[in-house]
Amino acid sequence: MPTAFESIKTWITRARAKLESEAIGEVDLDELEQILDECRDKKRQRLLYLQTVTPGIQSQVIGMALHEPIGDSTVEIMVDGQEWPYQTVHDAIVDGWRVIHFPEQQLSADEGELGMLGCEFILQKQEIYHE
Amino acid sequence: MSNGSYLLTDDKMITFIIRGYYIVEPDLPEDLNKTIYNQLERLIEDPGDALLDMVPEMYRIYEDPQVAGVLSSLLGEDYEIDGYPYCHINPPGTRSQGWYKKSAEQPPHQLHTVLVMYYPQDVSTELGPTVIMPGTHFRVVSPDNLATYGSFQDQVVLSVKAGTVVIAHGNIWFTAAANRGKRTRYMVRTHFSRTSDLIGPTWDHTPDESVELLSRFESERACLCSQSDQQKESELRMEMWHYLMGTGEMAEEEYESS
Repeated sequence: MPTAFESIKTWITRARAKLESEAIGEVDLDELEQILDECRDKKRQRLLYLQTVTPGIQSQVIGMALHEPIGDSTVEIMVDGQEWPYQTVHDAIVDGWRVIHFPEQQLSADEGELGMLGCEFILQKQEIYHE
Repeated sequence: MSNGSYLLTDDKMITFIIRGYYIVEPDLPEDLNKTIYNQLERLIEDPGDALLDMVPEMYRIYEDPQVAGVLSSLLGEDYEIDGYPYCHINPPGTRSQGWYKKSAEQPPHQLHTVLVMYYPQDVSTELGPTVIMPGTHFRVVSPDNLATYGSFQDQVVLSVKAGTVVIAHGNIWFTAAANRGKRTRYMVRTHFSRTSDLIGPTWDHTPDESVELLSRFESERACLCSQSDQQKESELRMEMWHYLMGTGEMAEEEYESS
């Protein structure tokens, strides 16, 4: 499902191409208006779970789960060696994500025992979707 | 019973202790994997505890000398099957699953039970491979708490050849990726357990050589984690070595005096 930003960018790309041979007309503007109408009240929350080595936001990310606000989406395990979008929580913040949960500072397990892997941050980004 | 020449060396045992799994590529007859795949394809419904009755060729996998050698090394010669084999069926279009670990835990520094995963077909990254997380066999967590995890930087994707057997510590974390391919991916999962107490090493142990190898417990990393986790992990690795040696403090003294 594209975001409103992506749909409008696509419209602009098509409009620029069209301008090379003809003028943009009423039909094109109607299409743009329809995109805007279809985006109204379509703000959704994206969630990004990042696990890091330490509780600091500059700490190396070791785990990631991205949850998209689309009805039948699930978190896919990456198996093709894809580049990770963020190496630190700070990278994600710079890209517009907002931290809504910080990890606990104290040790997560009894002394001598290993518990959960990594320190977990939860981030959100509000996007307007074009459904 | 295993053929002694297929027992793990000290170096390979230490790798297992660090990473929590070992991959076996047994020398199986060419048509055996295809036969098993075809039999699994013909199953109309989950056979439950009758899988070995319906696919008796699976015994040849478990009795393969290389597989038996690894199992003997880890569990002692008198290991036995624990429960019944279960067939995981991942048809095309199956989505990624959540991380899973067995809930009945053995203490993190011990090794009573291993998970054995057999793949009758080649598994590419497209075909919904199993994914495991090295080193997690030492982590004491409730399986439910794994629900927020997705991908890990250090995860191991088991993109393997037909006939591969992956033997892992019973506590290790594992999951399955999405099957984006055109055929069903089968995996037969079984557990094997130790039946008698340890009185000494059950692998191809060489006392003089092993002492130097034990430094790997401190220097090697199974996955990226905090410094305090690494320290705890090194200690747990040594505890597991003591446990498997059946000698308690003796192995630690050997290491500290080296």
